[in-house]
Amino acid sequence: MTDVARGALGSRKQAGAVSRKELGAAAILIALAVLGFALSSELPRGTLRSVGAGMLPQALSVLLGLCAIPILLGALRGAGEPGELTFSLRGPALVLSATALFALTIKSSHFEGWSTPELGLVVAGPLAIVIGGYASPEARLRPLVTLALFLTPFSLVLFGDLLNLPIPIMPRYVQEVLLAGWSYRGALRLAAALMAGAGVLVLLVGRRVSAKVPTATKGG
Amino acid sequence: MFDLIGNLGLGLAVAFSLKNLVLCLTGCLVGTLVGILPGVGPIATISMLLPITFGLDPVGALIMLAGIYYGAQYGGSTTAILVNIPGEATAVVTTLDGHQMARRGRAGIALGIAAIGSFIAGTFATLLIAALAKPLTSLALVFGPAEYFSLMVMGLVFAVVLAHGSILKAIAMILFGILLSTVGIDLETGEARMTLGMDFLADGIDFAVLAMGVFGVAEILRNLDNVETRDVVKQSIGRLLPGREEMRQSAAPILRGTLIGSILGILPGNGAVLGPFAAYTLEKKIARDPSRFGKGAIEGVAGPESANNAGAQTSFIPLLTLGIPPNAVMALMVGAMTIHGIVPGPLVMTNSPDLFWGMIASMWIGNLMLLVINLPMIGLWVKLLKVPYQLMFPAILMFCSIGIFSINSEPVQVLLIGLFGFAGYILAKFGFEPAPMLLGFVLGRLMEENFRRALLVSRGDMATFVDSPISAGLLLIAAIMLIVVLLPSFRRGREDVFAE
Amino acid sequence: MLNRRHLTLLLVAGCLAAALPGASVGVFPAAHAQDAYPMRPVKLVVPYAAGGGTDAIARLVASGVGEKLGQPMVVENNGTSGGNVASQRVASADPDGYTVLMANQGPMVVNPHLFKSLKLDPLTAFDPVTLIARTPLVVVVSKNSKFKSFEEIIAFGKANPGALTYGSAGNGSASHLATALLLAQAGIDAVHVPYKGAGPALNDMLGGRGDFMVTTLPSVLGLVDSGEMVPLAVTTKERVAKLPNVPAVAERGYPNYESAAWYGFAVPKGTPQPVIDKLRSATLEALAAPVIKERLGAEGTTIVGDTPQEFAAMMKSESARWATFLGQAGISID
Repeated sequence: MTDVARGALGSRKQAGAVSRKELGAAAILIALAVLGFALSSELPRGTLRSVGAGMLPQALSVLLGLCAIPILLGALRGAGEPGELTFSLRGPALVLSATALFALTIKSSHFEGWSTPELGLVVAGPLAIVIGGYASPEARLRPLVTLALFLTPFSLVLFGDLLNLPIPIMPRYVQEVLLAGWSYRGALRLAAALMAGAGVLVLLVGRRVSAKVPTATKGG
Repeated sequence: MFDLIGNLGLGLAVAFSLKNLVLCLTGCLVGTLVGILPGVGPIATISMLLPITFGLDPVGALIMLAGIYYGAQYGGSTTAILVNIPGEATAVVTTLDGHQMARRGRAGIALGIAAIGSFIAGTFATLLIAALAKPLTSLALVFGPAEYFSLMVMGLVFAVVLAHGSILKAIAMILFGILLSTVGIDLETGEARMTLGMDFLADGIDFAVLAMGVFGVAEILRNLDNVETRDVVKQSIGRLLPGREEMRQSAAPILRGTLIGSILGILPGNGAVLGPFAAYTLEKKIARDPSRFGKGAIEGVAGPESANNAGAQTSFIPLLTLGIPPNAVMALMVGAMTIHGIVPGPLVMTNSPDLFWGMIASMWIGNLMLLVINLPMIGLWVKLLKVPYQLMFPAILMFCSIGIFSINSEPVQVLLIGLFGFAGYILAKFGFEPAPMLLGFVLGRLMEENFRRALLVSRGDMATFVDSPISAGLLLIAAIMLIVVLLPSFRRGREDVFAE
Repeated sequence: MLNRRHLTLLLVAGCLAAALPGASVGVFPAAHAQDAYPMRPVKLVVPYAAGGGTDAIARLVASGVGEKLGQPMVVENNGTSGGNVASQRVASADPDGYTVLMANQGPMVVNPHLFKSLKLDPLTAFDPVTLIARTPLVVVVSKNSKFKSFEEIIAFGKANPGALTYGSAGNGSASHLATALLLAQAGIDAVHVPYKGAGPALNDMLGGRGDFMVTTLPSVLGLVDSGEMVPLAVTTKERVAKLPNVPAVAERGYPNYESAAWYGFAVPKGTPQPVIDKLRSATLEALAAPVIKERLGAEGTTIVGDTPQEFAAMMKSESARWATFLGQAGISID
């Protein structure tokens, strides 16, 4: 077993300190194995003549767990790749929020007892860009808003108009009340034009302001 | 031979009409576009554009739809190379060395060699279809569940080679990938497996969602952590197109890839998926210095890309000669034929020769068009890489979200790419690579299905896997391969473990 | 700094708020919901993934209906869980005629008795609009098969329990259920090998790895025409125009046997009658177009187009039939 561990991990580094990275890797595998086995434990394994639904998931979970053993042994002997483990919270948290907000606003989702309104791409797109954009520590609002105001209409035309994909454009009530009688394409193009117009405006205003105040771009 | 020339002549005459040329170009352009957009893919696009073709004649309609399909194959490599997002299973291996080339300032060369390799492969595959479509059909028919299972086992052994870090971790990821592929309603018994009672998991995890998460989003998260590696192009961008040296290096891989891809593409049940993986494995195994792979080896782009496109073309064979679609896109083509009043089947060749040969000829023309479209675009793509990362990644994020949403208007899938991205980010921190996992995911499902199907047909007799010479041969190759891969690492440990 | 940023945002918001009504209200006054139906695209939810037979028919019909309605009919696919997700989603949508279900036998009459977990009763959750088309299924064997007639394969199956192997387009598919019904009536025990769709299953039948298959006529017509596959019987009560020499199962000793795939439109319960009427007349008009007639006819599908009452009655009797059969046969899915 130790041969396997050394071979597979290719450890030629000095033994000694316990490798946290390898320990973590083994822990992840064990957790996945336990999870896989627990979720599939109630499925019948069946026989070779008629293999059951549970046979493969359970076998895979066991094998995953077995993979963890040599990694664990290696970790205790200090094997493994160098480099410290650092995690950041900001990136994952904001990127996850961005996708979640997109999912919640693009069209109405029904849950037990409540549902979200359908706000369409004009809301979901900018939300994803601006919130997601803040995952970078150097994010600034104006460039992100400008980007959103140009990319969203671009996507509207690209996905909705050119590729014919059924994507909700804007909040349902806006379309029904204000744009009654407009065709799908017409409403889409109008929304795109307005957003792009707003984008140009922001760009122009931004340029004028930054021309007057040279330090205007340092904010963050 | 005379027949072949006559038939191709007829086909070219049909395909070279102005209207069909325009339709072919339109298809290629749209295909390139959707291939580049992460998530959208040819299936969604062809089905959405189907109604637009109702007004066209059948030949024109099918030429255009086929153009979307192979255009998307070209476009998919662009995204894989530039931003490390494989739109389809076949583009996974392109990310390995293609994106690394881009990071080393060789994006143009990677894109160029992908386009050139694809064109050569497309040309060869077109000739192959024209000359040998009928006899090759029988190859599709001898491949039953047992043979298919053995092929998948061989493919999973290939997956070990994909990894450039710890072999043990690669094996663990393959197992995890297969485990993920078992989520959903069991095809045979109808039992819900590991779905947590969620409806959206009943059909299993969508490949595009998983790939976009563990490659695309995880890559964004990794880059955000790391200020130095953030901007995709660290170094100055060198030449835009491959030069003589690169062409010389890629010539043999392109030919090998073309051959592998062409054969696997004919197989039923989406054998084309294996093509790029097999080509990559082969290149890495016969390379004088395998440690270059995963760090921007041009052979790792040329071989798989050629295999990918060759397979995309030859997968038309079962459709054209039997009317049996080997994958979802081809199923859509069957629908398109039906809608245009053509009954897909062996008789298409004799009843509508203009359609049959016109389509084949248009494939070659389409490939030529794609080369002409793609080479000049390379400059544009490379410029796009210079966009500051803090603006680039929110844009990628939004395009991914829209693309995934458009697959079946399911908002939860968008949420899932975020979750898979986070999972991929954590796994990578502990030295687990996503590529073997994705291959396990793709092949695992096919492997299990065919394993159980073979045992149903043989009434539980395991000998079915060695009774057929093809199946036995494939298993033997897999066994030898496994020994070749594992032996050195058992004996002396792997030198290249620490190289990333 | 912050102030300037907020100012920009306010400006943008203001522009949007001012521009939207300014551009629209003046030109187009709001109309009453029902009279103006449809004011926006109508969504047709297809309970299958893109690329199957149902999907092709749905898109063909949807393009025609959209033309007649004056608003596009947009197809949305969701094949999750045998189409149950799609049917549940349509059932819980607003009953305003903007969400239509491509209703076919799977989600409408089979799944409630097949899926143990399905809470929806399609017979009460939807208002039927019209039946669109029917497709026969056909019993086929490979041209190399030792079975030359329907009687031969039935006799062999009765004499050798468990010896026959049949492929199907999937668990609970029309193909599977039609075969199961036939086997039950004939008292035959055979091994079921499910595939993902009819194509891969036919591939294995052609390669001689299965004895027979019951599949929809469009999926196999090309192979039948060329002689690769031999049709032994059709599953409709009467013979099919496309295959005049092929007997119906019903005339070969199983008079009660009947099985067909069908497609219709249904909308959520409570949709206003004028909206249903408008949708139905647009559909019937579209079905009458020669293009649709020809193209569906070429693959062996029959166009119907009936009243909501007829459609409802048909589904009710179908549902009762499958409930009895599935209960007796003990076929179910979690």
